[in-house]
Amino acid sequence: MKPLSKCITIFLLASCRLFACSFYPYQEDFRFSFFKPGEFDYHTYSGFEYDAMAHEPSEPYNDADIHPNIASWMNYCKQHVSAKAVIEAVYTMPQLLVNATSDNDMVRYLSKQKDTAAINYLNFAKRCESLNEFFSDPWERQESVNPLVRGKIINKAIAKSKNTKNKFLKNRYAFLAIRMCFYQQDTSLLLRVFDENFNQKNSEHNYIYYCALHYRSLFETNSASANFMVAQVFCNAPEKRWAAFNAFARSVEIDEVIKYAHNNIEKANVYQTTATFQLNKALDNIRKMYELNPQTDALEFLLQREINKLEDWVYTPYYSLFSPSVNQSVEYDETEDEKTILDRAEKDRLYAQDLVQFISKVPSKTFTHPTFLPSAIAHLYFISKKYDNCKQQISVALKAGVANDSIGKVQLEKLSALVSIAEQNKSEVQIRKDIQPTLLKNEKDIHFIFAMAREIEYKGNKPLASLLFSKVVGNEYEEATYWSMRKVFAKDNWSYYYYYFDYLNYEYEPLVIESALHYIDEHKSENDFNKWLCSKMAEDQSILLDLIGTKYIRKNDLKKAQLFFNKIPSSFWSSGYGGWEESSANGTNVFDKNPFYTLKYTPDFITKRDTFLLTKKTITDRLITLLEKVENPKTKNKDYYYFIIANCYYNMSFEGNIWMMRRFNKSCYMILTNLEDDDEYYEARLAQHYYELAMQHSRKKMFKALCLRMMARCERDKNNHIAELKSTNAENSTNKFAIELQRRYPKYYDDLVNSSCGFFEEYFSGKKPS
Amino acid sequence: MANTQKQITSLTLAFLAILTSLVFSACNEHPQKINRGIYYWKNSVWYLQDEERKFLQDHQIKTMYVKYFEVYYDENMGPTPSAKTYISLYNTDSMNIVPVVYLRNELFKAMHDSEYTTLSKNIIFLIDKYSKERFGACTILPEIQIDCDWTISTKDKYFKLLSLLKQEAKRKLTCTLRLYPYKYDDKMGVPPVDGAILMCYNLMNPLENKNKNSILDIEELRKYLNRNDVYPLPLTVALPTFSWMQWYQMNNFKQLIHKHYSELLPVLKPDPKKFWYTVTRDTVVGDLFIRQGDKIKAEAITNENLNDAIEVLNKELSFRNELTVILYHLDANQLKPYANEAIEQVYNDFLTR
Repeated sequence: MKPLSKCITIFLLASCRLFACSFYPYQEDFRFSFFKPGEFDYHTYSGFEYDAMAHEPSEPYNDADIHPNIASWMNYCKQHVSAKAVIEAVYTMPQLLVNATSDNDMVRYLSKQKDTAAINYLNFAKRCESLNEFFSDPWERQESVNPLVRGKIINKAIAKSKNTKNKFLKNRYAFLAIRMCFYQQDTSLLLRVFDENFNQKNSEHNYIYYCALHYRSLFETNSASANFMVAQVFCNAPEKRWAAFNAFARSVEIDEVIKYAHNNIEKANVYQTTATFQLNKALDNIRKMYELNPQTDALEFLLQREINKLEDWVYTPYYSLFSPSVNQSVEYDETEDEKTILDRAEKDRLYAQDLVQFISKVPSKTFTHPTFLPSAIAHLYFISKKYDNCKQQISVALKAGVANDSIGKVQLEKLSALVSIAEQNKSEVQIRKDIQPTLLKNEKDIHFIFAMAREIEYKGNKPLASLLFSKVVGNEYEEATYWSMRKVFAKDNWSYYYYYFDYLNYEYEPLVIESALHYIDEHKSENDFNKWLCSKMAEDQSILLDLIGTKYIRKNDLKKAQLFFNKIPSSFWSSGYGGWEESSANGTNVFDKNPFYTLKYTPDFITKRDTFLLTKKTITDRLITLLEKVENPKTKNKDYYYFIIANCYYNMSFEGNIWMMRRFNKSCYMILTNLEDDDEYYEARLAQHYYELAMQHSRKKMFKALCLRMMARCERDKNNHIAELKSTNAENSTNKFAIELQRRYPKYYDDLVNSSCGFFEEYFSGKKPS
Repeated sequence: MANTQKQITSLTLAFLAILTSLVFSACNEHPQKINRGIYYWKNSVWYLQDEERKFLQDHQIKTMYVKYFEVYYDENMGPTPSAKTYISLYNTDSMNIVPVVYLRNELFKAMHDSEYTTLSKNIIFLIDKYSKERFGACTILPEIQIDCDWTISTKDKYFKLLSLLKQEAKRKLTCTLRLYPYKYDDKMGVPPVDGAILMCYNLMNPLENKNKNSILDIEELRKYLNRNDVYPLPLTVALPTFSWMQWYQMNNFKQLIHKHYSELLPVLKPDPKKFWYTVTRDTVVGDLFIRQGDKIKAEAITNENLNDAIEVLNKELSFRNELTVILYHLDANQLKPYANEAIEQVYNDFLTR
């Protein structure tokens, strides 16, 4: 068995995670998706796949792709040179010389063609390259500076454009000038060069045109017109997509932008670009794009994106209780309660039906990937909770040729597993044998395992769910699944779970954990699946028994707590129950204080009559004995016993020495939870009750006064708790027990209230049992 | 007429008398006072190491000559500063700072006439900016030192810039002086500055003269110091306290090595040729992979070298009352081989010999 001190360390660490200020799970950490785009290749659009990073620049081309610029030079050379030779000549070689025997095919070809104009152009473009940036002022006089030479080279580029008859080179010289004008921030010159070279009736809309249009759009003052240009650039120049994303003004009405289009394709481009950047429902724009341009290459990508969006809106809150990871607007608020976010997720499920209706009407041959259509519909049916339809579509997709071990196949298997739980009746739910291999195969996919656990939990089988939750063990700094503590911290939902124990600690009844342990006893060796399923909780059995006992302490059911503490091997306590013997910075044992005699921040004032190793078990045993003793009519000096019982209960509270009887972690400030004993933990109500009984059973005025003093301490804690609940300052000037103390024992008041606690011993003395 | 002649004669005599007394009072055989200085040439370090701070204290070095930046010619930006200093001295009380700017000689080959005035203004601006931002707790001396290996072909342009800097700076302007222009000032000219720093190191191209110590060769030093008259500018002396290793692979020079000597020494076998070693096994030092059979030329400056150099300098130069001696350079690793006494001797030997 793992040494208990190690377990405790883990739990304390977990608590640090729970309440840490420095880390909060980032959106992508808790986004749920089972239809990931990795199955299909949307490479030029891949930077715009739906995720919380929305969006990161990414290389739009694969290694095997031929970049449009390279392709245009290959065309210029009439396909006599390879892409490799063009890349070398255009990008790698520092300077090109006319050389008919050059090692480079492109230089050789151009030289043989006596095309010195092209070679001169390439050399000129290489010279311009270092000017395509904003320069910070090396002399540090100002933020940025325009190199003087750039103005001269822009003029040269314009002149060369005008003087060159070769149209291919003419446009390219003009483009070089336009790009440098952008970095020079010379708006008027940029607009003039663009109009003269690219805005003519016969201007060809080729690759260079869209590159030039990109820079032109950045200086367009009419935002609708600018958006129109950006949309054309986005759809036609993949390497400018990231820049287009940043330039696109989302606030502009799409109808205003459409007015600038000359044909259906240009209109479709506007709808496509808008849909790509939309964080809300984009189906209307996708539909319009498709109607205007059925040949578009973006349909499959946009539908994929829409399904991923919907998964985030439905799955993320449904499984993690976090708001969707990609926030559409301020509409999502982490202070919302569980019902609000789950209700919204249910409404969002309806959108899946709209998508199914549209997608079903698109001819399957439209989609690049034959398995996309059935796979997409299967996932949409699951979101819609139409499980039979979902299963049917999974079969269609598998028949459509999903390759074994492909991402698509694995995703469909996981979907089948989720369906198999979701379609079962409540409270009868089991993990069927046919899906057990899918769980084993995907045990590292902690989001999937977590979703399965949640589905089982929603169906009412919490013991089984808890076993699955225990298998969701991520790496703190790599992949982990986080789920919200929304239920527990209803007041301020800023914390999260990432470890099953905390979840069980806060949210499950002890009976659930008992049942899970019972399941382990019965099934842990049954088959490979159950071995895997039970392994974590079996390993943690002692700490789980401790948890059950602690839960009964919270209920003040000491006998039941004792029952479970007794089941724990003694080595669990003796091998170092971390928290009990942890030393403070000054070397004293913080927690190793006998709770019956010692109070925090109070000099010892009661002679200790017994010593024993402090554990939850021994303290519970002793408390039960004392409670039985005061119930016995023959017992003398009950005031004494009630007093030390009260001390023990006080020490179990937030302000006490043995808070770990009720909690597994503690912060220096109050963390309000929905745990059933939160009031007891922060207000020490039981302590107050037993101090009162001690007072009632005593005949000594000084002792009675001390009891009132202790009741006033509990009352102070209560006031602090109420103030925390109301987010106000505590009102302790009206402490009713302090008032009562002053009224009944005015001559003791100063000793007990206004002095330090040094008088306690005097007030307690004389009440020792004979 | 006779009266006039007499007046002229008496004036001439008086002038000669004053001049003679000035010469005698200014040029003693030995200086009476040594001002201790040291260069700080690193440009990627934010603070002085403890050993470096201690070195300054131990030797009562009050003045640091800090290279603020270098200037090269960028095809887009024109004259451009680079290798800027990052060091900030906020806790070095009572330290004096003299800003130094290194100008690459190629700058003058590329610069246009129209760029000189702007460059001089920019250099002074950046010096003043760094003085204020980085050396708040120090005293910035009213002096700027320019370092440049000028040649005959760049002489006029360099001197033009110095004149502009002098005009713009409105403080003392000094410049470094290699031994060649010291000896041949008729060809190399005398820079229009208030003083010169005679650089008694890097006397020759390190890749030539394979049998000599290119950092400091006494005979070479003696050869250049020997001139018939007094150099027309007040002189400061700069001496080397550094070493390096030249790394050759297949007889091709790879690069200079300035550190990791202790890791490299165990794998070096001395060659019959002075200064030369053969690498006995493949070794990684720092980020360099040095192969068996590679050649290393180890050049260092010993106490003896320094003593010899000072002896030559004392013999060949006439000093004024005060002499500033600057060591190159403040680097804990490079200064490790020198005992405290040796450093003290460097400064004191100018007084005692």
